[in-house]
Amino acid sequence: MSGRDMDDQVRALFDELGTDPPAAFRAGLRAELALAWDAGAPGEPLAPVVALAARDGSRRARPWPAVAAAAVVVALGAVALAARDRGSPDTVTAGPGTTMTAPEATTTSTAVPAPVEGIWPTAAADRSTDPDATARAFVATYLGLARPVSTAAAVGGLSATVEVAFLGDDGRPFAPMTTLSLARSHPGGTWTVEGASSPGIDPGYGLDHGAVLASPARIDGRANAFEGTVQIEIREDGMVAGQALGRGFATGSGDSDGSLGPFAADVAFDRPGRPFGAVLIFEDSAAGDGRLIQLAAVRVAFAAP
Amino acid sequence: MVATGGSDREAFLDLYERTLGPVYRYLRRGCAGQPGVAEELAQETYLAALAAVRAGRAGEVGLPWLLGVAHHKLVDHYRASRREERSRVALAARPPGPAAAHGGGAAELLGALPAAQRAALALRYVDDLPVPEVARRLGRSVHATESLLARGRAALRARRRP
Repeated sequence: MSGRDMDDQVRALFDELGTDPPAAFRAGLRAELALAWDAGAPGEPLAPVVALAARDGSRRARPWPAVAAAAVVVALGAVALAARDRGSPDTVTAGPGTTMTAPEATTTSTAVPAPVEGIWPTAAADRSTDPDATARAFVATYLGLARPVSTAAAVGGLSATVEVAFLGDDGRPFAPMTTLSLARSHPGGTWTVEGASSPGIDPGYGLDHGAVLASPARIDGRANAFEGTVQIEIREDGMVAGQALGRGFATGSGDSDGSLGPFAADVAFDRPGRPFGAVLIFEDSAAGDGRLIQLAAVRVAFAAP
Repeated sequence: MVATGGSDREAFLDLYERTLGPVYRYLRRGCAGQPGVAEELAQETYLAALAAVRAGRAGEVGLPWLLGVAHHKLVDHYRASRREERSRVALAARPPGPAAAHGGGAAELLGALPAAQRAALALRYVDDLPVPEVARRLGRSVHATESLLARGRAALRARRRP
């Protein structure tokens, strides 16, 4: 079977699923929307995290049972609506050049879900509800780099990606160094950097998010580091710029046309004191100006000693 | 959405009636046929639309806006599913789903795939996104995404084989 045939078959499988909404669902959601409309004063923003209690048992299980148990309760006029753990995006990009910001919710909170665990930050003082500020602080604190600037961001309710570049002396940004993946546990919560990716560095299969490392760890993949090297650092949670359990490098390959070539290195590292950490794979600027050309960062776990 | 004065409520509900079909069908395809998820995401999408209209942005809210919001809801769902899957297994091999043993229809076939493969396939074949864009939305490398897609296609091929 050709690749095109398989593509068509997969599309057909998905198309089979595109059924119309059941009449009961259509009517039920309409009634809920009408109720929600009537509950808000004209012209008054509706809190985006407000949702209606599950209508039936067909809903999927909540990802955070503890949150559901300590549900936020919102009173809108005479109607009390149980909030749920997921909400509308604070900012969504619905199309080119169109960015919309939803209003802040007015809630009485009885419990706040814990932030998503990730590469950074691990200290409460470093947490921020602004993805852009989180990205810039990550680059400054975790990577120890100056003059970072975020050049583009796509922010959803629970996840965001932020491109980071450096400002040149002329005030214009260089090409993006990396794209950070951020996540948060609930709308309005603080952001956590879960990983970083760069088109010029592809960590190998063994380095997917959550990979379990033991020393020495084989760090491999494909990268474009033409006539250069890729640097490798292994850190545990809580470490910042200048700290690492182990360091190494691999001779780069690839081609001047941007194609990727394989790299591999065995990196020994000290015994970690924490169960999780990160592997950083990056390429320094040959200009010696402290910039990074590209960076990939993967959250990993450490094998029990 | 075009509305005037006191007819805002009716205009919004009319928009809902006219657009629920395509929004729901998109979500059903995107979440691989899980009706509970599609319903929940549809509800969140229209609550977001209601909030936008309330905030005075009724002019922006139409089918393209709704599909854009629905897409973001799906990506959030994929990423949340991925985190849940990770928290359940520290990269241990995932046991095959029920459809692996029993075959079945599209929902069963796609539903039996690991969430990451299902998400990659949905973005590639429902949203028709190029692989680098699928990778960006999922926060993965292009290489890893290509691998996910290849494994997903291979699993579907194997499970459809009589």
